[in-house]
Amino acid sequence: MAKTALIIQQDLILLQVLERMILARQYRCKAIRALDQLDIEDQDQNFDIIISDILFDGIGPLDYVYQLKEIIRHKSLLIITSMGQKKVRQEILEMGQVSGFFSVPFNFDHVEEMLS
Amino acid sequence: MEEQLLLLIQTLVVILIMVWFIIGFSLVYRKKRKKQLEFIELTFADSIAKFLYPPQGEEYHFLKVQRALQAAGAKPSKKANIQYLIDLMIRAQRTMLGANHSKLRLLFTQIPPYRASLSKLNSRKWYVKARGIREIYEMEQSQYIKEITKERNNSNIYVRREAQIAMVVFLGWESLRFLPYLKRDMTLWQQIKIVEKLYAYYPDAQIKYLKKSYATQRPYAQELLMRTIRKFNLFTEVDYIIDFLDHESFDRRETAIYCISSFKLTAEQAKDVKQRVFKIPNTEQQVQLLKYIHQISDKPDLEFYNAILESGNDILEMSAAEILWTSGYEELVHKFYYSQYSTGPSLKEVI
Repeated sequence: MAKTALIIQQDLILLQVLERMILARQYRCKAIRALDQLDIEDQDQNFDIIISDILFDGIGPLDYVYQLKEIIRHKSLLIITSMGQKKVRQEILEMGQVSGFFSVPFNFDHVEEMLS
Repeated sequence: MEEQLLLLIQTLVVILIMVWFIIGFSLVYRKKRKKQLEFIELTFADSIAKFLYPPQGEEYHFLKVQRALQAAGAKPSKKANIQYLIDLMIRAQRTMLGANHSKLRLLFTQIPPYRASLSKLNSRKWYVKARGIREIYEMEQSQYIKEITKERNNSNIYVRREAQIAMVVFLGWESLRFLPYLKRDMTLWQQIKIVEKLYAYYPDAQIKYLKKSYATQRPYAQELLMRTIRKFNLFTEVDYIIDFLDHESFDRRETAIYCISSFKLTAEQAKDVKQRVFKIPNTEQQVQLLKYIHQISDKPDLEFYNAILESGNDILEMSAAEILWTSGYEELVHKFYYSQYSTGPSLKEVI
């Protein structure tokens, strides 16, 4: 069975490019711009990878990551964000269970390496 | 009277209806416009995604991108759409590094709005000009560097700022051949921006260009060089900063003290700095430097602090005494202050 991925990015350009990249690696992929676009069925899925932003309306980055881990079942979580301050990065990596943190600008090749 | 009032009411009603009409029109127009811009963004995102990661492994030709964008409304005849497209391009290129970045750069040289920035550069309005320069360096169209270099002394501050940043982005350390010799002054903000850009784009220092510009006598340039040395942590070049510690200008000294605080010194340099403390005409700065010297040395240099205690400046004496006290030389401080009291005539009177 094909691997599954979930991408949550507010930036449309980043969202589309990431989606293409994932699709090119034979994943089944769902790309959304915010969590409220998620269907009920998706919540039963066990995603192989989630690639998410941390900057959304009405929720702090740490709370967001915490809730994301609670709500959606997944095997690994990757953060890609334009909010890449050292402090935020450190705090999120300290939470554990986050397999990578990239802040823009970043190299897509490194993200691909993490996928394989 | 009655007629006049009626006429007035009629005109007001007509104006009110016109205002409503305009508001309605603007609402509809904005809605349509927003939809179109969203559509352009979607098309752009989709086509560069396909360009970077072609479906089924086939090459996705740039003409397809061009056609898709034109179909979405980003044609040369619609200037506002083209401007929006340029902003999107800059945004896209900023998020990526490595292979994708160079692929996008190649793509953007092939699709139409390419020349829009150049025509902005020739505009008479300063804000159009500055924007054009910014677009050129953000999209790394380095062939226009000659035109941009000409603007580095432009009378408008925003145009020359952008031109200077563009020079840093394109020329890197070589831009130090021009930057210290500008006709107009550079603000602190601009100095910081230049150093940051240099660090972001060219993190490997090329000291030969730095050394060549040491001869400059322009105040802002000397500060700029000091900040560069600090940012890149060039400990071999600390002597340049030390030379400004006792400079006659307040600002130059201020910058030097700020910049030196991130370095550790050799014994010889420390000795030099200690001598310069006495030559600084401002007490505040002397205290700052004193604190720095204490910070970098493991053991207090008693001879030096004794000299300060005898300098006759109350505030300096206090700082020196504080440093001596906290490093465990209480007796020295006691001795110093008691000796003052025993000889002071005022104390004798009290006794």
